[in-house]
Amino acid sequence: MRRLRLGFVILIVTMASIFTGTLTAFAVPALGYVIAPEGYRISVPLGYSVDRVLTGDYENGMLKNPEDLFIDSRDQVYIADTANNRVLKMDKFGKILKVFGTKEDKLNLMEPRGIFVEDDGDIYIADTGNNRIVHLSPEGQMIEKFVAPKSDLIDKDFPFMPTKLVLDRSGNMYVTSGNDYHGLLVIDGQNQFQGYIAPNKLKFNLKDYILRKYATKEQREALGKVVPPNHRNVTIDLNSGYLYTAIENTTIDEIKRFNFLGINTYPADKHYGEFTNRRGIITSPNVVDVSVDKDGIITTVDSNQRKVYQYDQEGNNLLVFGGNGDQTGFFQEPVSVANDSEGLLYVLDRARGEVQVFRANHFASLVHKGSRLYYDGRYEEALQPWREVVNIDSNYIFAHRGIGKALYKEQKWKDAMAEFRLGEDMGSYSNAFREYRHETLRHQFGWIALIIAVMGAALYYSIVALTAYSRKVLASPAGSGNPSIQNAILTIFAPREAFYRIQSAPRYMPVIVLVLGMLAARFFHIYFTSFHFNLTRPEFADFYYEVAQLIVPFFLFTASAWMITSIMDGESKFKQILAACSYGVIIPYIIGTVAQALMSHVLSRDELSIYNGISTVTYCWMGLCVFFLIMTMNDYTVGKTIWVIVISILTAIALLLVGILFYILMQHVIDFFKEVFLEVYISGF
Amino acid sequence: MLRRWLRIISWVLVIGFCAFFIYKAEHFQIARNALGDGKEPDPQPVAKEIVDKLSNLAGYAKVSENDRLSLYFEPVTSSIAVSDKTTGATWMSASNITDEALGGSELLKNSVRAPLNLTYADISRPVQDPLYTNSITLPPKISKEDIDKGIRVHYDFDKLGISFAIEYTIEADRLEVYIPAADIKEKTSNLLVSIEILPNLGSGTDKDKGYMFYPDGSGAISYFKETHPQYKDRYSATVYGSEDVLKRTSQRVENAYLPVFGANKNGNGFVAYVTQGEFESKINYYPSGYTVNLNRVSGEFFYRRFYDAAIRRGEFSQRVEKDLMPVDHRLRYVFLPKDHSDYSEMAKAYRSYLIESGKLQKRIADGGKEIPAAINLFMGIREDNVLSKQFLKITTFEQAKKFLQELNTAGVNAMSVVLEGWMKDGLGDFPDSDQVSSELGGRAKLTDLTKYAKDHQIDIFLDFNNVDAFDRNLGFRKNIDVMKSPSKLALEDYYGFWYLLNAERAWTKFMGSQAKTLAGYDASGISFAEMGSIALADYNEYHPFTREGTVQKWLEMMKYSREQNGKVAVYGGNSYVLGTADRLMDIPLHDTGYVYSDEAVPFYQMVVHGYIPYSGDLPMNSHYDSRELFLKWVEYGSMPYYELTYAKPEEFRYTFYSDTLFSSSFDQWSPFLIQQYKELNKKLGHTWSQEIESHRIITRDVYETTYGDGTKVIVNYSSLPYKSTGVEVQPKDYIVLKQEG
Repeated sequence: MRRLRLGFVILIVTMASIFTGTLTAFAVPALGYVIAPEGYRISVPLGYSVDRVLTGDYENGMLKNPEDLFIDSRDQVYIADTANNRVLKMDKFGKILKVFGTKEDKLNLMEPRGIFVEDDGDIYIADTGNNRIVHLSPEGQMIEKFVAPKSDLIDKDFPFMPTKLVLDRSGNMYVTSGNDYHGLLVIDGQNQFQGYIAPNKLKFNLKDYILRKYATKEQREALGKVVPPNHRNVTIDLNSGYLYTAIENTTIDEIKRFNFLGINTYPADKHYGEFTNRRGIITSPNVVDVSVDKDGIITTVDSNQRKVYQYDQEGNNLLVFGGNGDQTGFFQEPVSVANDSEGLLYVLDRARGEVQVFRANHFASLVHKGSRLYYDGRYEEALQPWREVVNIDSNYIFAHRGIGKALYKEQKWKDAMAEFRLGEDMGSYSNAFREYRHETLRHQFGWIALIIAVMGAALYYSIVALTAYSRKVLASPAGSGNPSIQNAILTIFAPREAFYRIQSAPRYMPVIVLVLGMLAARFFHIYFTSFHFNLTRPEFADFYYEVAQLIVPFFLFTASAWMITSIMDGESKFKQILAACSYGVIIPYIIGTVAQALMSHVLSRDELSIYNGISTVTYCWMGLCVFFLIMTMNDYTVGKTIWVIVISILTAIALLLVGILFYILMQHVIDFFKEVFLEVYISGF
Repeated sequence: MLRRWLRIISWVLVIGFCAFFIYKAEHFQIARNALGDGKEPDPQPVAKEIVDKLSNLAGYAKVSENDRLSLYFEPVTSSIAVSDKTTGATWMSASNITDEALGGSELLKNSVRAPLNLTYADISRPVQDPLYTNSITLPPKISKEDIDKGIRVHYDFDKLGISFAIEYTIEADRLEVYIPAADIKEKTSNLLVSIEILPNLGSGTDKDKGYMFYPDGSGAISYFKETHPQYKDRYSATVYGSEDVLKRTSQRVENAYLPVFGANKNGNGFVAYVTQGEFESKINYYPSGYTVNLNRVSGEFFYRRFYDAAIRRGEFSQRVEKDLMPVDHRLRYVFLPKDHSDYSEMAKAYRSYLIESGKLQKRIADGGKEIPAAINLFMGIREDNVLSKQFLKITTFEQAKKFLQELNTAGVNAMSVVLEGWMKDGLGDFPDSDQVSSELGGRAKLTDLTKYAKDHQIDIFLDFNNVDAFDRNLGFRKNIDVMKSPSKLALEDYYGFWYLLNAERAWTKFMGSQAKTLAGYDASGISFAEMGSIALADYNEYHPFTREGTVQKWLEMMKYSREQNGKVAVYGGNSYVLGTADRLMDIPLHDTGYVYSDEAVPFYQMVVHGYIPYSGDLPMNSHYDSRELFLKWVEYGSMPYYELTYAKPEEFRYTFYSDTLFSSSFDQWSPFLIQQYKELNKKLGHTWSQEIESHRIITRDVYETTYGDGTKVIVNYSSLPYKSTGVEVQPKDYIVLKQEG
């Protein structure tokens, strides 16, 4: 029940978040989750569990605010024990093998914050407090020191303060230095500065731009200088040569993958952290370290959320685990993460002064296997692990996508469509659908051609019949027969005449029917549009929002059109405008929306332009109707009509703003009374 | 003329009054006590020479003695000591540790030697924070009087104006500590919040051998060890769970289901349990490395609670309750025999207390040889859709029956099934309706199912929640019907959506008609949600309850329902349900996993096994490692537990079922269920009705459970085989060693 309670709240909040765009946070205990591409959470079995915990020992003392962790090719663990001014070397079970920076070895380390160990065992320590990088032999002998490199290109505002570093195979060092936002410093083996690589750019921010454009000098200074976010951490994948960096204090592109030219090749403009809003407390992401295993699975730690996030090479979230807590498996201040050759994950917690070693559970191993094969393009081989993943968690979106891809390759279009549907992948669904359509068309061309011909003929003759009917109506005097239906048909075929007739005898009944029809058409669209076009699915749609977004503009425009026409020598009354608008706007809307929903079942996303074309045509038709309506009913000239319509739209916007303002004020008044009631209530008891 | 005078007089009066009030307001002084403005000098702490000698029995006087124990008393600090003739151990209220090994400040050094710690609050202050002191730093006036089998010590904290009495008595193998509420007196604005009694009894230094036991989840132990980091937190658990049930945000924290703790130190040990007033108690464990290097475990008794008083909307300030809760507290230390002092002996001692006092009832028939499969079937749920709230039929009654038939034919004879979401609106619309859902098959199909189950000795429980309540279901009576905090505001979640039903209101409704309607479905029993996992004090204006009062009301409902149906099941295993329930659910097979805990132990299971059937908190089909969970069942003697549905999980992806049910269909899981049921019953079926005799940790990841008849089960969780004389256990496997003959 506890789980359900939390779960229920998650659901309520996630549903809300789909509309508001903010993400939520309620950890489901004993389970993990994965972030779907749309941002909501899917619960999965716990991905990793703690295998062991590495701490200091009694003899050498405990760790104090350690900041970095490195695992070498022989699975030995190096920890920068920052506040103790030393570096520890352990075996993978936590037995301390060597301490660098003791009183005896005279290395005099000062707050070391970064370590890198080469394959041959040579150790590089970012000796931050001494503003240098120390190169030690595996035994701990000092080999060389790298101090601040000299170059005019280095920004003088940022003295050399190495925090993290990596070496590539050719011996170049990539160093993060203090708050230097120009990028990573590249220093060669001769302590020469080779330039900055991989600078982060500041995103254009309109609000900031306006502020700075119009602020006085003093105000600008008070605002402070806006600098690009800097790399907090850097990791190298020695096989591929990619540099991976974690970027702190940013809300987008927290992870980057640079090739040797310094170009980010990781999918950009995506969020690799989570914004959470828990009981009104908003936590922003702060990704502090990144590590890559041999399969290319990227693991990051976030010291604000205190969680571990795993991504694949395409930037998809695979797993999330951890969280804030003083329990094993949770973190207080995770600062560093590393993989060993067995695939275990080591996470260093600065506040706790310990390393928790995580082992992937069955589910996580399957996900890794599937995703590795998937991104190698071996879809058929990936089928097996993905099927197992779906057996364990049938809501795991990527597994469905993987299965879909494999089925697609096997040309099982219909099955692939079903999997892509479960994997919520519109693009691939559409591709499978296109092939399916092609296949169906080929196999049953005769029948399909016949059906299309019959439907085309039926459509043609119904239009012909309706046109004939409308001519007949036009010929007969107004008032004979059922005027509501006559007007509706005339709106389509002879709009000006229809509006004359509506003006002469406006009625409320058709208005009500048509407005309800408009809502019905909208819900028809929501329910019956094919998956690969449907942006508003019935599970996620909000009734009040959907209704309001149709009703409010319609009535606002009607009201403002009436107001404007009545002050601009118009001749129409409100009832007339309302009735005419109902016909002129809603009938095209209904026809267009329903047609679009139906067409979505035969179009693929390659023909998106046709799909969108239907709505464009509909809106043009609606616009024309409004134009004729205003012109006919008020005897305006063309120019004046356009002018009146523009003013009406502006008025509608103004009315909307006033309405919102009024709503907010009313909310305050209501709040005030609630508060008074509460105070009386509290003091009453 | 007269009127004019009257007018003048009245004006003078009005102005006079105004002036008077202004004068008063200007010179208004908050009544302060001595602590606030320091009028009186603080009393000196007890002299260091005396404190240092507390670990020497020479300064103590023997006040009581029996065949096994002697009770000693030290008059200056009121320290007590108990010496055990059979084991030779002396248990002292002052810890025996050198200052340098201890570390920490003077206050902390005093506190590890004090016989009691005190928390109080000053209500004359604007912010009422808890203030901590102990009887050595702030020495009270102590007077002693002899009573039968022990002494009664009277404490008078002059400075705080708080006085109370504590009785220490010894009997057979136990020390009883009793704090009568009637003797607590408060003279000033200082109000007593809690007394932590004998916080250092059994305390262990880093060099001692042994561990502390505390009731976190299934039970947890923490060894005395030299290698430990500095901890920022300690274990401090309100017995039966925290009261912040709706504001909980962080990870799952397990309850202290039993009011029990224990120490094992250098081969000797004790178990302590609260026998009275456990609803207003906490169990504390201070790991070495939390402020000082000393392992301590203790019970703390509460008389008031802090709460957030609403000053105005959205603004709160911490307050303490004005009225003292008149709860008598009684704590019993049972000293265990030498070399029989590990946690399984503690569990046995506690179990025999529960049985003697009638707090644990045997619900499993003697000779029961079949471990039932615990299956929760999820039935209906509403999916929010844009036009309608669609009722999803996840499992209908007919499908459920068919499923049970299938299992039964396959050889699964014993089952304990819980139906969730069987009612009108499906699961998740609290408080639950007592009407059966017609979409799922209605009353006819449900009774058909329950009849089938009765005929085949399958237990079927109907899940029923009348604790939780949603805003939308409360109507106009919202302010009357729900539980409230001391601030008189309703207990609610952040979104103002989730409330809890006042126990009296729930009771009235249940006794009125619901119980009868529910009994009409002919199920084996009702499964009451929440009632065994939370306990809350309720400050409702019309029907206020203490925590114990709320629980008593709930128990009445359970008992009544049991009379009507024959059985009753409950979520959560707080010890108060052990005398009533026939089936326990959501019993963790692990502890919370605090950083200072070294091992989770099946203490709870040792107490309950063979008496009441229990199932774990995470079902096989949602667990991350099926083998590990299976081994846990074997080790902890738990029922195999599944949460299943007929529909595929994709079909209810957009409901909150998907938060836990992501792999749950019958078709997929029934082969596993059948295989696991058969394996468990073949190897361990005969242990079902037996007590767990002992449990021990053989080495890392290898555990041994021994049952009453001598059957031993060795479970190996590691990836290496375990070998010992004549025994070999494969990795991730277990063996059952049956007693010969």
